[in-house]
Amino acid sequence: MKKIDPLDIFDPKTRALVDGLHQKPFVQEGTFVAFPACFPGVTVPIPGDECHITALAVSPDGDVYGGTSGHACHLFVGFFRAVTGAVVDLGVVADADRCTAIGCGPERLFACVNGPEGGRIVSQELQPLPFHLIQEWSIERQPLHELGYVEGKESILHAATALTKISPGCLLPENPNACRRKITEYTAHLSMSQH
Amino acid sequence: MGYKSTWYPFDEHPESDSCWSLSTGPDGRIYAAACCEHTPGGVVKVTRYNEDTSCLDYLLNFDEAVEEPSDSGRASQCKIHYSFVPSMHDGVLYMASHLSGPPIDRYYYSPWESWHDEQRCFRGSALLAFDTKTDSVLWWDTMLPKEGCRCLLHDEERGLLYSLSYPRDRLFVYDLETKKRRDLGRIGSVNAQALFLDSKHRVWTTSDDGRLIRYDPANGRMQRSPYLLPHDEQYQTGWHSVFYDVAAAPDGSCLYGVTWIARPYLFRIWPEEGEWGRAESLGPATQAHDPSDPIDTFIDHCGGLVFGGDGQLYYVASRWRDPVYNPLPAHRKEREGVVWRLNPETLEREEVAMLERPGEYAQYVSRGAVDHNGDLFFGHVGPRPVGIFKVDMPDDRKKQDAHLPIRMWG
Repeated sequence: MKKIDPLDIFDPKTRALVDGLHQKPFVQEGTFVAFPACFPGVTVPIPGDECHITALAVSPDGDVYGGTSGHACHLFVGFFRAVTGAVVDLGVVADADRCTAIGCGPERLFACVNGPEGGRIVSQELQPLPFHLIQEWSIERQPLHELGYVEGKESILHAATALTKISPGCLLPENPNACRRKITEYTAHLSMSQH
Repeated sequence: MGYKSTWYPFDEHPESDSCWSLSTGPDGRIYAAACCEHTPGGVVKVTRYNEDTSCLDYLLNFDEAVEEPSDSGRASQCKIHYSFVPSMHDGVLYMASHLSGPPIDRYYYSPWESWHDEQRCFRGSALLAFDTKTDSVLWWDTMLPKEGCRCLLHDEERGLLYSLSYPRDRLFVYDLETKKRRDLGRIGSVNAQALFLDSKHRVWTTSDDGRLIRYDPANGRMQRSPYLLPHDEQYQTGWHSVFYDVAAAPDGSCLYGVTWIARPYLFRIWPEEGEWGRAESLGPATQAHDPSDPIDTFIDHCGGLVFGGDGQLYYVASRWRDPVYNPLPAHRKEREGVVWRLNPETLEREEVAMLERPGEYAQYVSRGAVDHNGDLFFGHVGPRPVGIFKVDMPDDRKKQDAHLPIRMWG
């Protein structure tokens, strides 16, 4: 068996090794954001058993939208630019316990959610960037619009968005044939929203 | 019991959008600032309630008085923000201006963006001495270059004016004799909305995280309290629980205040008990709401704290329709400004009036004051033209010179 030398804790390289091990799991490039699922000090966080983040998307302006799974499904937005710094709970999606995909267009977000009645797509306007979260704030939740269920109570496993012409792209239901007609309708509807 | 409420719009300043300062002057009359922060080149006009005509008299155009006209191209002299303070020995009312109004050819003003712009930057908070005996301007000076004055306090015994600056959120002292200012240190970023003075000439305000900040002229130090001001422990942390308004009990025993954050908390402080005084929570001032929703700070608000001649604390708290927490009947307005009367002995609260502004909501009140006749007045922030409310105190609760001892901060 190969013999491994014990670590020399006094070796100057040891500190660098420790730092590398500690930092490496997080990010090698880009920006890492760690933030509570709330507007700290202003709102309660999304409950612990409802805040498993299972979908994320970045809007064209750089705001982070997401959906959760658990006892309830929430949509949220994280504002980390300008005079902000908050995760805003956009509310619970009724009759859903899993969000599998989020897509952001220039004006709206689209979320694929599943529940006892199957998968469906909901949509709402993107939240305007809050003017100021240090002085005073005014954040109004946008109404959620139902775009329809997948046929046959099928669940949606994932979705992708093509930003050139926003549409959910390829929905991947457990039974692909079941929702083909609906996908066409969603695509047409969402495309129209761009004009 | 329903007290009568009367609305007095700033008709002669139709662009006015906020009344941030409303105070009792050294003459016992009510002074109100008709501010204009959302109109390019907007300026503040100083008014006074005329008890003989039951009208508002317009005393001065602040921009002209401090030689900074609205078309200067700089951020305008748009408002006086909690910065009327009386001087009792000579009948002077000091006032200091605040920023935010854009230059006449711009839609918006950012003090940070224009900090180094000689042409655009706010010239500074102008301190003006107004003689209430002759209705004349005695003098003015630039008290805080480039910055606005968020709130002002007068230590009359020592001839000192203390102010909080914006945007840098620093505490300043201005010597009325030498007309020199001194920077005492930084508070934070949120910018508290009130200062108060204790009998030891110590100046109190609050930090961003909801602690008391105390400047003691005896040692020249600014210190922070080991405890936080009362707040909703369900989700608030103390952050932003800064002073919004503070009123001293008439007997001087303690001070009553409210925090500046949605879901504001009422509290009282005995500042001279022990090393750091004692603070007691009086609970939330406004209704409950969905704690996952960051409610608008313009909707969920409390201000206008003032002691009436009956020794009771009056304040205005907002109330609004909420499908779950407050499903008001259809005939009620979506938002309401409620005048409350709090008994300092029993802490019982009684709703005594609803502020009625024809055709508009009246939930946001900045400051309250009582005049020498014992009637109550409240400054309002809302659609243009904004104005003030007069609330008639019932005869059996009314007292002459109810404004004494007078409040020495804005």
